[in-house]
Amino acid sequence: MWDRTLRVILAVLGCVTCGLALGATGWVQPEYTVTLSPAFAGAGQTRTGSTVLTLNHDGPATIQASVVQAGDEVLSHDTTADTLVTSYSLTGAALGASADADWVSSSQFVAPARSYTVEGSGLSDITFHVRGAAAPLRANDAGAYSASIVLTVTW
Amino acid sequence: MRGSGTRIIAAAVAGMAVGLLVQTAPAGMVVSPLKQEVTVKPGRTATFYVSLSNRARNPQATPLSAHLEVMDFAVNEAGAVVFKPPGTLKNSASNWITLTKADVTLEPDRGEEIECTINAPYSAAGEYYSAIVVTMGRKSRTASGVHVDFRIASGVFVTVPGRTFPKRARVASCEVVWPGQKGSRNLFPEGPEGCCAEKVPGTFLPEPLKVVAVLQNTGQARFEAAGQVRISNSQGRTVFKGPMTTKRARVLGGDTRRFECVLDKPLPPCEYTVRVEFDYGSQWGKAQARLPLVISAEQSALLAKAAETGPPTPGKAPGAAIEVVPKALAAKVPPGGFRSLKLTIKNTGQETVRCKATVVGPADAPSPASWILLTSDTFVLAEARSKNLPLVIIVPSEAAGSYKATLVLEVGEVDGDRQRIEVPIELTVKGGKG
Repeated sequence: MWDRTLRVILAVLGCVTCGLALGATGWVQPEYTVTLSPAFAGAGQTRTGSTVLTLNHDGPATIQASVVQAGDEVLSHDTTADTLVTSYSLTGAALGASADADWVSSSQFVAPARSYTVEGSGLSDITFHVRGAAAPLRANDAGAYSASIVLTVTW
Repeated sequence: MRGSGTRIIAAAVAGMAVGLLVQTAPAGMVVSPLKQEVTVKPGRTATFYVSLSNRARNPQATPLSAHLEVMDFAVNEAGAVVFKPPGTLKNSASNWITLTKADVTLEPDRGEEIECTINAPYSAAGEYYSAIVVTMGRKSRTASGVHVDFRIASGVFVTVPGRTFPKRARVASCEVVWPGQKGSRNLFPEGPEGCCAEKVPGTFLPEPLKVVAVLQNTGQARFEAAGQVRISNSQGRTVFKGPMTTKRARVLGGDTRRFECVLDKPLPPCEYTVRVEFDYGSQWGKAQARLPLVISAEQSALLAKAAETGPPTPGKAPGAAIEVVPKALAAKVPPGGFRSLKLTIKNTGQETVRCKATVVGPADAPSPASWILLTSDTFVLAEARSKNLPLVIIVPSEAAGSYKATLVLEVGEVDGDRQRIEVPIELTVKGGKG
């Protein structure tokens, strides 16, 4: 009982001093959609999109990208299943040296070996970039393309 | 008596905190803790908790839902966590853990502690690992674009006492990796679109020359490792010394971990000896390796060029053995709110240094320097010591927009020249409650 009460006090004090519970980590947004605008209309096109994700953390953390099902990381046409050459990257001062300096292929982005270190504490803005490109020598189907990524924060 | 008194104190503190949090806490779901140590005796049961809270407080905020599951995890050589189904890894504690709830929906400004029970078998003395993976409420794939879902993994490091497992380690490999050599990190991957010239907005960091070592935990006990590299010339004089860094210093039993040290100092053509040493918390010794290094005239020129023309390491003053983490500070604060940030300053050199920290604002724009308080602005750092420098930011209620300032760290050896490290600070004053 004493331990639990102490934990409550410490957690509350942590909130007061840091705006965050002790050891608490979370994304400020519950989910996000990065839109590629304007939508694909034909061959030879490249589209990019980005959004700022905010991580609330009180110490160093690690971010890794993954997918629920294999292939989710590739931008796919909603009706014809045609695919675009898909690349991603994460940038931001909080990522330090682990920030991407160039586009990363979709398969490498979700590879288990890839991780990003979030340094410092507080609210860290991390920019999520996506690029879809028409395959060389082939016209892609016109229309909307979508993909899905899971970003996991670990200790 | 003690219980009721403590509850009153806790309630009072909580009351004060809630008043402050209305101004300071950002929205979203948070999980606590990010990792925890749990000890359970063989054949006994222990309880631990994972807390979730919905920080949203604005009137339009909606409930947030999350799904919890227990998973195995392994850590690969690069330090990345790889999740596996429960009970599939050798040192898994997942099948011993039960959660009182797997699905949680939290109204705005509400939290819940999820009770987790672990039941260790009688013959289970040792160290085991699991993760409580919290997946935020997931919607179906959107019509166009990339849908990003979020998970937060809370690591559970379980110790079942009964046997003592000594810490054991060895340096499995050690090499000097020249740019372009196999094993160097490829910053510009040649994937299907790796040839594209278009760069992501960000910092260009050319591939440096590195000393790379792989540390192997040859025992069954986990440890935190810290390493350093020394390069000495043929006369035995140390010409370079630097820390070995890794993405994850905690090395589990049986794992290997890659450590690196960037060689950012020009060295004349000569025969050298590279010594790598890891402290892994063992009372019996350290893991060491040494290898000969011959630097040709051509390689020496390459090193000199890299040291001369390469961009300075962010947050590190040229010539000074001081490391500053993070390299930049940023925070979002509501008008009238406050935030606490932290900077860690480490002396990786061989001399005691004197440090003086000040915050300065831009001359041609509104300066937030007066809002930023340093709790300690002058201090001395001995060799291999580090210091946390807290910054407290108190934003006036009339402030709005983006503000920039610079934390200037003047570093110098005692009675020596001073050098200057600048850490940019970016404040976004935005929003209000929630």
